[in-house]
Amino acid sequence: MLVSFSMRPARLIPLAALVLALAPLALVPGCGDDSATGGAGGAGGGGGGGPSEACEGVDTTGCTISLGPSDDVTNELQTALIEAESGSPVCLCPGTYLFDNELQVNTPDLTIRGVGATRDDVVLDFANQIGGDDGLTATSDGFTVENLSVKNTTGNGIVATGSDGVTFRNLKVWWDAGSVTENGAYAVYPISSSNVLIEDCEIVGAADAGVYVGQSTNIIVRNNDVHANVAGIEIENSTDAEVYDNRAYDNAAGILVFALPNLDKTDSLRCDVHDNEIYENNRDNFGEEGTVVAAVPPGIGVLILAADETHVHDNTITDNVTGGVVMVSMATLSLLVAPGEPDPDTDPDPETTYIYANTFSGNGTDPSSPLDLVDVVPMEDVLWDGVEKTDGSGDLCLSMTPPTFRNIHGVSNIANQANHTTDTTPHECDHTPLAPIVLE
Amino acid sequence: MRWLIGTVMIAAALALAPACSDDAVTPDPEPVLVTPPAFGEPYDKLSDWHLFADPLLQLPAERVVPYDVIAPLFSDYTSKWRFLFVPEGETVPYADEGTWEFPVGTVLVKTFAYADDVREPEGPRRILETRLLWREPEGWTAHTYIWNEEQSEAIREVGGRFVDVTFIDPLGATVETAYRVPNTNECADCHHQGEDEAGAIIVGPLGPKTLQLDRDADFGAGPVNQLDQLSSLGLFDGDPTPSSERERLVDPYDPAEDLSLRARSYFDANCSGCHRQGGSATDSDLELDFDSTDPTTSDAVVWGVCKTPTSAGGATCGNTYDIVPGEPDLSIVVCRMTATELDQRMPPLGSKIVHQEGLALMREWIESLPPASCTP
Ligand code: HEC
Ligand code: HEC
Repeated sequence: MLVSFSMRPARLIPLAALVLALAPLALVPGCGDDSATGGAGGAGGGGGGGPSEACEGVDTTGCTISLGPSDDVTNELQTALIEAESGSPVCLCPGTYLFDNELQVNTPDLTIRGVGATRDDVVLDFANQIGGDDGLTATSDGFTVENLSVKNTTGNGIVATGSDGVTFRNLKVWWDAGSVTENGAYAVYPISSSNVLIEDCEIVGAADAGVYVGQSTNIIVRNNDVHANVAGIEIENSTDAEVYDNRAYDNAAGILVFALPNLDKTDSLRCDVHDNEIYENNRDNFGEEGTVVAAVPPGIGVLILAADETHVHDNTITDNVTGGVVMVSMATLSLLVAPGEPDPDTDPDPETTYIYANTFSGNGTDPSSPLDLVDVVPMEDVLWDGVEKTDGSGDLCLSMTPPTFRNIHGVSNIANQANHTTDTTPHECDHTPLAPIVLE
Repeated sequence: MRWLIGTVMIAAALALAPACSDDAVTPDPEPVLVTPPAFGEPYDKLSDWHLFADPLLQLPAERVVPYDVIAPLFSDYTSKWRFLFVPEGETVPYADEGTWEFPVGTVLVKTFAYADDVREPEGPRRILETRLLWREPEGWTAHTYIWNEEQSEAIREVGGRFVDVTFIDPLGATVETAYRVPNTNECADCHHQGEDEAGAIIVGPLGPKTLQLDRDADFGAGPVNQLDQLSSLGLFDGDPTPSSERERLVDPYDPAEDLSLRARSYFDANCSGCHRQGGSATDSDLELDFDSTDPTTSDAVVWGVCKTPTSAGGATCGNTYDIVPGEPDLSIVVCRMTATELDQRMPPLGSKIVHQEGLALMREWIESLPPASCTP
């Protein structure tokens, strides 16, 4: 039944058309040889290109491909990232790399490694970017970036979407402009990912959260220096996260544990925030208007929003002018930002929180709006909006040696001190400590 | 109805110009046959595929069938040629719904060019790139070939690049822009069909479907319906559904068509590559394919009505909902189509220039929507 196709145009074109169309002829076939010349060259394989001067004398042991800065580096590195075999590290030799486009990884088990002596020796600069808005993005499993700096991205710095096995190690991500709203939202940003490790990074100037982990599971965030961002570290709608040994300072808020409505992953469970130094998070909030984070009152050490089984312990939390630990429900959030569509799938209240063995000092000395309405100076170390489904369902434990504490018993009571309580007795209890996270 | 004839006419005319092969003056009388490479080894030169009897003129080789879509993707006023090649002895199961399933060995071809003056698409022009989707045994692979300035050859490009171009736009203004030849991963952003076990993206075609191809085109003997034409060429396994029962897009810019169908067709062509189930913008929960925007079968929040953004970060222009019926200026959809900042722009890839005609259509359509709960 199959007729052979034949679309020989010569047979199909009315002759009159041929004559008519001759007039506008501008292009006649050029007589170049077959190889591409001019600006449009660059056949596939460029990534493996010749040895770069930048790599001379640099130890590139274990690198499958090593690149140095060049005028065509966006193309060279992107080609290398596409053509690299799974498991073969792509290495960047010392120097500053200027990119004009977002870089994307879709190859499983790919490592991008700076091979300078320190992360400051290899700088990926996106100031001249005219395509894509993030710096480096990956969608495949097993994505590692290490020992380099990324700066000046329009959007996010480094993003992993839907990856199982993400490692961000010894990175610096920052913006030349300092801490301004125009900076990218998130500096390191795993979303809908699992088995995430973020360690030994320095993150400065993100207009939303420096370290942002969204809708992910099985997460370790440790030993990072996170400062001069709107939020230092944010764990949002994620399950089983351990955030420890970090230093979060000089942000508008230090560490955020959030459950937000209308997301695919609806809950935020078991975030263990411990042994961090969380201090002087008093920077003006420079977040983009309309975003949730822009509504966070500056001066908060740890902010828990609607997340369940959050543990906060053994941290040093000092000199955050609004409060050390603030715990609120969605009801309080809607005081601050336009409510989205109500989401019946998200539990609006924080439950089964356990706050113990932290060292607090110098917090709550000058609460910012709207927590200034509480009208207490200094604010207690732990402030709770007290919203729960039934009396006691919040299940908050402050251990047998509790910090100072205030429950405002509902958002409507915020300015009504008579209805607040500071008695810790109902919360002198313990929950079972969370098990350490083991990455797979 | 001269969508194809324009292409073919100029192409045929140019065929008379001397070519620069060894036998420069003698036109080659032999039919050109496609010579696909071994699977997994795409050629570095476009010419090696022999997809064209004359590449510069975009004259197809044997069995390479030109086609056009009803609602094209706007790509900054480039002109495009589209072709499909199905190997001898193979057929495509006819389907009303979804993109057609092509056999191994199929090559889909799309060439982009700038007319010096886009108001005269048949005047002088510069061919920029020829993109291929190649159905290999393991699945589709995406390849693009950048044309050299001499327009004598095109070389495969993996890593993408910007090409500086100048052209005169529909209003007569001279535009200089950096045209983006996408890297292979960027192809996958729009041609995303899901992910394999290791999270690597699976790509596939977007245009070849009944919704898009069910239109007239001139194959040389006057306008004929493309599905009838493809059917009579023996492409399909099975007969197309009778025309009266087929659902199809409409020309988004034809004011004689129904406004809602125009808007839905525009979305399908320009947004649904990413905004559909399994597309790369799944996190936004905004689905803009033709089916998802059908108000009779689909919940309005799915296509953005009174929907708060989920993953937009700060890219909301201070607005609260994707679409506010009656209020284009309060609708995030409009502001993101108007934006040129990299972190706001929609679509984020494939175009840099604000599409005024598309934007005007969106505004008109949003204004016409009946008020909903979020309409102030
Ligand atoms: C901005 C989104 C986008 C990007 C990026 C993109 N495409 Fe497409 N492509 C489309 C859409 C939408 C269509 C169908 C509509 C049309 O042809 O106008 C299409 C059509 C095609 C076709 C014709 C067959 C088909 O699927 O309809 C080919 C071949 C093709 N693209 C190849 C590529 C290659 C190769 C790349 C990367 C170099 C690429 N595309 C990048 C959106 C995109
Ligand atoms: C190349 C893929 C791609 C194309 C094509 C595309 N988008 Fe998007 N869009 C995205 C991604 C990814 C997001 C989520 C991140 C963001 O908001 O920037 C998004 C988000 C959005 C949002 C915010 C939605 C929400 O509820 O969070 C709107 C509105 C939008 N797009 C409109 C459009 C329109 C209108 C078009 C067509 C004219 C379009 N997009 C084409 C990828 C795309």
